[in-house]
Amino acid sequence: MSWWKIAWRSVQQRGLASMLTAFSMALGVMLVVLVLTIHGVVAENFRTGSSVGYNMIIGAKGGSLQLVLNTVFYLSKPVETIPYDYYLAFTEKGVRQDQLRHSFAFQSEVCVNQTQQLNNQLMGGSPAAAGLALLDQMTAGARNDYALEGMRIQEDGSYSLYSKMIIPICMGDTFGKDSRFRVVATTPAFFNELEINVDTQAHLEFSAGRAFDAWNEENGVFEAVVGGQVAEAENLKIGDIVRPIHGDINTNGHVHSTGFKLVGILKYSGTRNDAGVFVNIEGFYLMNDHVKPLEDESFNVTNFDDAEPISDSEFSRLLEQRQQEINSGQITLVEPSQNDTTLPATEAQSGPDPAPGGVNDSPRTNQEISTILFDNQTENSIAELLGSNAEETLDFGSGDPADTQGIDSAPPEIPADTASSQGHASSQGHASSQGHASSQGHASNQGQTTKNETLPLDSPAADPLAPVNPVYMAPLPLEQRELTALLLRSHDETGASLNGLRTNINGGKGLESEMDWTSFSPKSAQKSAQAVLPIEEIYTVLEMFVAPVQKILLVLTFMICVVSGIGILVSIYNSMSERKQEIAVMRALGASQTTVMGVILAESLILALGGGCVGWFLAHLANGIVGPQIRESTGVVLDPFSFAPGISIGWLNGLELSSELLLVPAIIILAMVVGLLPAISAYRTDVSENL
Amino acid sequence: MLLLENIKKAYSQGDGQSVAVLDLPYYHVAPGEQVVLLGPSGCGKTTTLHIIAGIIRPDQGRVALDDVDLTHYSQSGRDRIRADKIGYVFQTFNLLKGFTALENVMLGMSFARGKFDRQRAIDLLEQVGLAHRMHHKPAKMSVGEQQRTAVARALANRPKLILADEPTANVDPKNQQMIVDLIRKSCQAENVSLLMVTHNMDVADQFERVDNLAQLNLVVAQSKAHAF
Repeated sequence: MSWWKIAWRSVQQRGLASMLTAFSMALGVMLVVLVLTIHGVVAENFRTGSSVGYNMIIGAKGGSLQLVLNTVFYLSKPVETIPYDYYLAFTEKGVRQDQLRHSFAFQSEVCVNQTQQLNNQLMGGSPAAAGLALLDQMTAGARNDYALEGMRIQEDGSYSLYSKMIIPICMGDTFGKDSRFRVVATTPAFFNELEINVDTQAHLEFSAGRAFDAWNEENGVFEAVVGGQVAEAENLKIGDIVRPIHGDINTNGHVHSTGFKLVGILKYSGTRNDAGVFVNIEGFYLMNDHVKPLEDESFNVTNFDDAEPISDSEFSRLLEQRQQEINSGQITLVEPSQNDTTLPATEAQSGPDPAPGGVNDSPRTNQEISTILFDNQTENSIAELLGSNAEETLDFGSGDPADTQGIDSAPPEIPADTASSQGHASSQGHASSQGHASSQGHASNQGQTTKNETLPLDSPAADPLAPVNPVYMAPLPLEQRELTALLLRSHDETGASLNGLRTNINGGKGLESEMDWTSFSPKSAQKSAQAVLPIEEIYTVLEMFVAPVQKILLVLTFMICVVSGIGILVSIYNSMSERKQEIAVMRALGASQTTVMGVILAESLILALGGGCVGWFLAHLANGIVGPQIRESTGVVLDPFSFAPGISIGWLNGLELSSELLLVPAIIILAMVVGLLPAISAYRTDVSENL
Repeated sequence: MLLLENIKKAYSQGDGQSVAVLDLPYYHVAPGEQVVLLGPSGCGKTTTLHIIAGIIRPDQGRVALDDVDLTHYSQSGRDRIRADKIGYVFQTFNLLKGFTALENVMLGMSFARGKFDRQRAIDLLEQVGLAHRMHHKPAKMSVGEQQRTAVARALANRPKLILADEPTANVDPKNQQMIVDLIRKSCQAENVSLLMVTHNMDVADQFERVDNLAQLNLVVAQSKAHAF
């Protein structure tokens, strides 16, 4: 019979004691394996989360770690905001033009030029000539006009050459019970361009639905995607309406009246995106409280400078009052004359009425400009005037379908979940904000209407009761936008290049924005941005906090194993007094001292390794049992087959083995150490005395 | 087969003094011979057996077993000789409780080099009439069955010499003769020398050669002489 057989028989002979001893070792090993696997998964989660396809984050000056934690892991609060203009510094000419044309500066220049030309040429009786002249004017204006020149609308962004991918994000809102999930406003590029695994070029995958569109025929810019963890926790399905919470619901936050149609649910990726709520940034900007106030005094209409935001019920009352005024004849809606060269009047027109044939010298309200440019009638005018040459010169790119929607078509029905009041309510803005003309244009209706106001019938502004279809809402002008951060992936990912890029960005080079090219925005407090490399910050956190915690936990759990080992020692040693005769008999039968010592050590090994195997199995079983709950609450994916991170074995050609395998030699050594004392006792057994 | 010359052994009392327990000028057993070693309690029977088995080393003298001089062997060397050439039958059987009958017999051959043979263990159990109990543990066997298992174990490693230390002391009278007969017949069949220690005269009378250790051990003989 071999030593192992003799040892196994001895273990069996002391069944209960052996089982208890092995179980204590199993518990210790289970804890060690749990610490190793959970730490490995968490660390991998950190690494995965910190290398999601971008190597630099640009944000406001402040705490770099806070910026990274907020941007990558959706933790903490945004540091501050940066001008939207910073985004444009990383984009090519086409994108810049497509974006800049949504600015007040551009729109007002186009409006002024258009008005001038229209007036001049139409007075001369040549619409075609007016169109060509306008084209020349705008082309020249792009070069000569101070405002347009300042925009550098014909140029690529300062950092566009370095930028392989740039994604803007805006944060601040939350979602779900107790505001446990963060809302991330971004563009479709977050799903289409961002690679969560740079090696495999994998993008975020969907378990249901799709990414939201830049603009959707059905939902406009009000589409949302949620992570798998969010969908599971909040019981969401495709088609549900997601309403972000402004701030934190636990501290004076409130649910936005604007909803986003859920069009996609992400597959679990093991990143923090599993706990993210992603909305179209354009829709985000059009929500209450997300509009940056304007500094331009001309936009401050005195009667609503101090206007308080009104509730939905109050707004409904105003609409009803408005309808009564129309019904009673206080307000007359008339069709504009064909020869009427005046601009369509709005409900809140400040300053004197425009003289026939003259340009309205009064400063324009936001609503006026939007109405002018995106009103059905005016859009037709622009299209006719500009003709096909416009796009060749100005390179509008793909354009915003919303700009051209509504032509020759009646406003479509509003989706049931996006009530008209939201379209109005979204415009009510802050009590303290200035220049929210689109909202306050409506709000100011109270007591401000006069008789005989003229409004084009087919203008959305004509009928105050006509619901504003959110699908066709105009994008928020650039001057009223801010960003939380930019996600950049550079072409050159070498350390030297990234450091050089970071230095330039931190020094403000190429970001001389402050929105100088527009007079419609307050001067930004930001002189330069902060560029951080998320990997650096994450590893700092790992090394500073996570690694020490892991070390402490490992030490603790290993001490538990040592205590279990001592239990083996005590168990075997105590049995020696009963087994002296047994050992003496084996000696009398010819077993050497080394043999009996080996049998005792074999017993210790059987108990330790047997307990260790059971403990390893229990640990992975525990991972499988609690994995779903951990995934639901933290987003960390843990399953029975989650193994501790691998360690590269140099002398095995770099073969990578899970660190759990290190437990095998560790347990063997522990068994040898704790079995040594009883083994020595067996070695020294006096045979003649004990026979 | 067995030769003891000028064997002396003394035990330490713990106070620095030692007490002589064995002084044996000469003793031998021929191959195949069956000998009874009589003697009262304390005359050095167990010490003599232990010296022969190599369990303890004599303070002086020479022990030769099957032409192998054990005098200068180390402990591990004597263990190997014992495993190869000696079978032991104990007074209290000394079967290992956690092992079956078959495993106990196999244990007897486990420490000898190249002698492990499971079939031989089964055959030996059949020989002693315990084939049907081979998978039972000692707790489920009678006294007689346990001793028969011990006899089978002693023969397992094909020894040259069987040492039986009062094998019938703890066996009921009905089984005593059976055990003695079994031991003698087994030794005869395998041509194994037998040295049986007993103080049972009925058993001793069955043997052709009976030695009195009280007379052979000079320590005891001289102490008696002094007493007189």
